[in-house]
Amino acid sequence: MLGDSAKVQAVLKDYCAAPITEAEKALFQFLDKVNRQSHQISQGDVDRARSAGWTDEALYDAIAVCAQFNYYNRWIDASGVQDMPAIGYQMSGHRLATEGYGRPPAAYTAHSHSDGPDAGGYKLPTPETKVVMEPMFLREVEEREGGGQYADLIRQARAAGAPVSQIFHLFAFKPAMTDHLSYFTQELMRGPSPLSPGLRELIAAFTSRQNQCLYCANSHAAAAGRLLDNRELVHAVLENYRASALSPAEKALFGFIARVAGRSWEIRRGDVDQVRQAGWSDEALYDAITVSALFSFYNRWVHAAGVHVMPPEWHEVSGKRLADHGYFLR
Amino acid sequence: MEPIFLTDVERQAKAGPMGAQFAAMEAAGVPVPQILYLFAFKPRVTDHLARYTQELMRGPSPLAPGMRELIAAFTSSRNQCPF
Repeated sequence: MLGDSAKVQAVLKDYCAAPITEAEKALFQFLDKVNRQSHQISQGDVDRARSAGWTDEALYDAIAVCAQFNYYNRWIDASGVQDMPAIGYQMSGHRLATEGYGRPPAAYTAHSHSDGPDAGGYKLPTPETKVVMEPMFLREVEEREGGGQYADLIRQARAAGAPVSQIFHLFAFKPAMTDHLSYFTQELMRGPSPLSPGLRELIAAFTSRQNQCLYCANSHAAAAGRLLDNRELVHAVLENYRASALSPAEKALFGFIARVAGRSWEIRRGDVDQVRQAGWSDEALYDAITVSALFSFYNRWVHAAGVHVMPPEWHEVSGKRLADHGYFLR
Repeated sequence: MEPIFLTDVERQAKAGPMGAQFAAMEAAGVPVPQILYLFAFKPRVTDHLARYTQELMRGPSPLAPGMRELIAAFTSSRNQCPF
């Protein structure tokens, strides 16, 4: 779609030597770190990309795309989607360029969300002492009022003097986009599955711990602890799942998930057959892979935007909200 | 094409509402991008994923759709994933 496939190939081969602007080189340098070492992204990295000329909105979008393809890469690697002949990629490229990814908005009501949680009664608790959060790296994202369900939560938190869970800003910044992300997350984490919601939350927390994303690990560990009614187990799995009280089949599943979150491109058919032999159906594996891949997205999104970890009691508040109300609050 | 690792997922996707489309592609000698099986397996989940991805990749942004595609390709190539 850039109309210059030689330029695309040059960027993929070595962006430093590619015929692109210095600003674009700075952006790809930033994204390389988002992709591979997002837990080490600092305000300085964001400031360098900004001083190359990128707005916070551009960086927000670039981070989201990079993080989202971490989702797709892991989803594909672990499910064993095979490489295609060149003609297949040409046709896919044409389809994506002309039709895009989704169906037209007319189909939006195909699924009812009435079975989603109703946040009608959800209220953030009031803190005993005021909590001051470090600002996010993407300040404009944090400063814009935003819209949708998460903007409501931000207003509520501010009015109560409670710390704003900064991931709310990532959702509120572009609600036309993130509402779909919330629906997707809600269906994946609470919809029909051979894996209980508690086990899915534990996979989310475990993946986040692998990716060194404490913010996500803490919140989803709290949600898993509530849904499984077993905080000790959740803690033990995050510390060392092999030594935990998980069943042998569950240990096989978590060993596989560690690979989905890590070097997913090395997963082979035999690896999947092995975890299937531990007693998991393909649907269970599909759901586990999808949950883990989604949290490889969230972890990068959160890290690179500078969403900071909260005091532990506030992760408990998030965990309770996730356990009681889920991901879509309207 | 080799089947995907999750063979039941592929089998059920082919038996579902998208099955006729997959069969027509195969009959025409067009390779079916196997990621479509992952979408077809649980449409209640993946329809939202598709809409989210559509907004992310084609919605209003200071980055042109082509630039967003390049970031996607860059990320995937760095992750040693051919897609």
